[in-house]
Amino acid sequence: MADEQAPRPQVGLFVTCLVDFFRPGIGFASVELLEQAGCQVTVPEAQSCCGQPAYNSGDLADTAGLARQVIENFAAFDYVVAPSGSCAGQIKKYPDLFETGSAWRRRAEDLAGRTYEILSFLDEVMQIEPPRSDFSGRVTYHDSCSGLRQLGIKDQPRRLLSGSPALELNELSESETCCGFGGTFCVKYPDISTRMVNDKTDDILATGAETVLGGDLGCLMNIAGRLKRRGAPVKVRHAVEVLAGHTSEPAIGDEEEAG
Amino acid sequence: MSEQRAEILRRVQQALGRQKAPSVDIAAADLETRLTDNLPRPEWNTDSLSRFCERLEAAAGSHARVSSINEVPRAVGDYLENLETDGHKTGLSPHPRLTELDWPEDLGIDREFANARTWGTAIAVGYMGIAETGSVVMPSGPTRPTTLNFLPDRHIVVLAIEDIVDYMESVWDRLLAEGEMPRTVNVITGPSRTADVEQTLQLGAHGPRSLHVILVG
Amino acid sequence: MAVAEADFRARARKALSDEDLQSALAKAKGGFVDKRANAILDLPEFEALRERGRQIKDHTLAHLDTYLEQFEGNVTRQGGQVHYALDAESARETILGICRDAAAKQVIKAKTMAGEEVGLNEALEAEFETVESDLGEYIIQLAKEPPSHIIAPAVHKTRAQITELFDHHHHQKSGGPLRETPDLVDEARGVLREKFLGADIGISGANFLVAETGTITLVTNEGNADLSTSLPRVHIAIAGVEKLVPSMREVSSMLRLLARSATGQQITAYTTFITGARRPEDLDGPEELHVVLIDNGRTRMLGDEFREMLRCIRCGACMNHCPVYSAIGGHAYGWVYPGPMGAVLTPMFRGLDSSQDLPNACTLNGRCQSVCPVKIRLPYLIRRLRDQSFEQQITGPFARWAIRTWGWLARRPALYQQLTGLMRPALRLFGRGSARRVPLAGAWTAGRDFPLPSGKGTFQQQWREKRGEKRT
Repeated sequence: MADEQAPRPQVGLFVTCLVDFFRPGIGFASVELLEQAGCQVTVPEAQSCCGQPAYNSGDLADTAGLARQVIENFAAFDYVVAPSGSCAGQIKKYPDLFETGSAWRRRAEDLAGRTYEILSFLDEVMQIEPPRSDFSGRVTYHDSCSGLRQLGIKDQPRRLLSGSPALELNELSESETCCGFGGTFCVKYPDISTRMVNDKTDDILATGAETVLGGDLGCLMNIAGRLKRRGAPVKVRHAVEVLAGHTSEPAIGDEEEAG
Repeated sequence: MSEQRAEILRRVQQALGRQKAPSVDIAAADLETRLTDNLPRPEWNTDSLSRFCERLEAAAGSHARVSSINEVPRAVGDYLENLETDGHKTGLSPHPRLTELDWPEDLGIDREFANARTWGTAIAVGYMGIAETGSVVMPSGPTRPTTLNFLPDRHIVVLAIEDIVDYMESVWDRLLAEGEMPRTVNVITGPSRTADVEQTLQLGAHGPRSLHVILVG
Repeated sequence: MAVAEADFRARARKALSDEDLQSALAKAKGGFVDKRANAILDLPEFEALRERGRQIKDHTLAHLDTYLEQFEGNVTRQGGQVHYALDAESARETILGICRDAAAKQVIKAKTMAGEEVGLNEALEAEFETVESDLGEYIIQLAKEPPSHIIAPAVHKTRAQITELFDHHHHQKSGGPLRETPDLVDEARGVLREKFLGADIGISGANFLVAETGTITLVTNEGNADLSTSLPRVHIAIAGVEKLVPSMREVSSMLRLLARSATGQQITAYTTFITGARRPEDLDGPEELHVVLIDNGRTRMLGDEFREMLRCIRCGACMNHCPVYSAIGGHAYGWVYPGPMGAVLTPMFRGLDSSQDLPNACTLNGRCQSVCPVKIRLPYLIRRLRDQSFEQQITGPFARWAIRTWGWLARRPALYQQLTGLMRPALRLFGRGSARRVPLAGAWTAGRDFPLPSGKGTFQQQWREKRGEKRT
């Protein structure tokens, strides 16, 4: 690790549109963890979305427009970190949007090389010790597909969570199966998506977990929404909330304290 | 017909951006540069014979061992003794290593290939065995008619232990060194099976219900 | 087979509420996945083998002209004939012509996806007594249905349905008691044995074509392809031009990949290599061998970015690991190739305008690519089809407008943040924590509650407040 004189790594937080809008607490937990790890965190104001909805709908022009925006606004950082495997994964795909040899392509490649999903960043780049937390209870972990298959995120969150001695992790029986979110898929094909998330929640219930953790808010909202509809009292949280000790905030989709 | 041939070749070459096919040697050189691994294949830490027997059993085949070819009729008798043959005959593949043997009367061996469709059991000679998969290799020819591998309920294959090789590639090396590919090579691993009814494994779909290998040596 | 891609949504909905189908799919689901996982344990270098498979196929495709000519030369030398068919119609006509020339009455078929692709069965059935010999294919032939899986065509049928089909077709009765699997398999064996013995023509597909020797490779577990190709007078094999591999050495590697990926076996019960027609000294085997090589859209793919799809060896691993396939089964995809590989091939072969749902009905979760034995980037190809759909305006006008409007807004972060900042409090009026219904979110709330925004404002609003910055 860096010695004391070394400058602190400059990290630009890519908040992601879902976290910004639906669950700001994930953003704050991320900032806290990054600062604890010794990073200097900046949140560029000019950011919205990584462009996945356009990219996965075949709208390459708008995706490239958004990519240029992210490339410009995150040019100054040593690292760009997002609390989402799929958004970080999308930024890593930007080079494909630009012609080989072009200046934008080079800049996109440079950005892709500096971009990380937060859990793998903390574990592999900052190599932090698993944060001590007094979180207790039975949990299970949903590996989101982009993180798992595009970025190879599987052991990192589990290593980080191992710092909570009272946390008991029960793995899902089909931990590598998609939850049915799929971005626009879940609203384009709601019947199929519902069936998939129902299967996923069956597996979650079978683990006996009180809380489901994961690293992608889209999947977590999908899972939380289905659990709520089924009346299942399982809580759903982003892993950074547990790691930062932010579990007094109601879980995803849960009612907030009055006042 | 030949127009369609020409058109397909034209389209292939258009897609590949050329007008003349590279020679087989040029193609082979390209393949060689692409294949940089050490030919990934299963490995095992027992001897070839043990691996062969283990894989054959895993595929629901059975085996017995005799020390010389002359003991094969007795081994066949032992195998058939406790099986329900419904009066169906046992037939011999027209292979000299089998036909020259001394077959006891009570086995009622039929040597007439023309009757093969009525046989309940067929005895044939395996060309080679593959340890990797527990397979017997049956190239077609006058001493090894293909249909005998499939029509009878019970298939008995006599296989010399020295003919067991580790991998399938060695089969092609030997066959092609001896000449052309025969009309058919059947690589057989256990009896016929299907899982088409509710993914439940059931032996004896269309081919033999059992495969018994008599290992010689 | 009739093409009905356009009704994907309706078929998917029907499939989801079909109890028999769901029970059959539930039985199949874990089996394929677990068997494959166990089978690759025996081969620690499976990843290296996948790379080898990819290289072998890429190499062959890049030298397809060389290998086509070599294959044809060797088949001909060994007494067989090679025919070429540009499209489905000429493939059917070529095969019908061979059957007519042989004065055939009965045809026995082993499973062939290329045959399904060109609609061979309907054409044959109009002129000849045609029987499918793969048990799964036989079951769906009796049911007059297309296959729902490329290696387990009757995977959607329950034992009760198969009992009913056999009772009806073999015994002209119905409503009998549920029959056991061995009983059903035995009965089919008896019925089909007669068909094998009586057939004049045997038709098969090909899993691989070996250029160096002119060899057709067939894999089965039942032995049906072997009886189909050794008893009748004439053997016809139909295959796509992409089935070629250079030599017997490469086919050995490809077979290791295929068996593990398809059925989770190290090798199938019968792996058969056919080279030419019966030799003068042979005691059995067909007198004629015809190989019908089809293009049907393949050479177009060879020339564009979809070339890698031609690496496909039709193992079915992509659909076995696809959560969408396992929810709706194969028939919902509307054509012969279901699942992820079908989501690419159907638009390629039948046109994107009639099948635009297929590449969209995918979560891009990528599991298919991770199990593909020849490393086809299925999610990438599926997404490229969405690009084409958007570009060619096959994507509907409302969807295009919605995505473009959103894209316009997202490229103006200040405006975007103002709007989202206003929307948050509005949304929070619909419930506490989550809502059962929210305007314009009917597709979401049909099956799940809608988690409402939490906290005191967007992250950006709170961040600014916290840092004591003023809004500009």
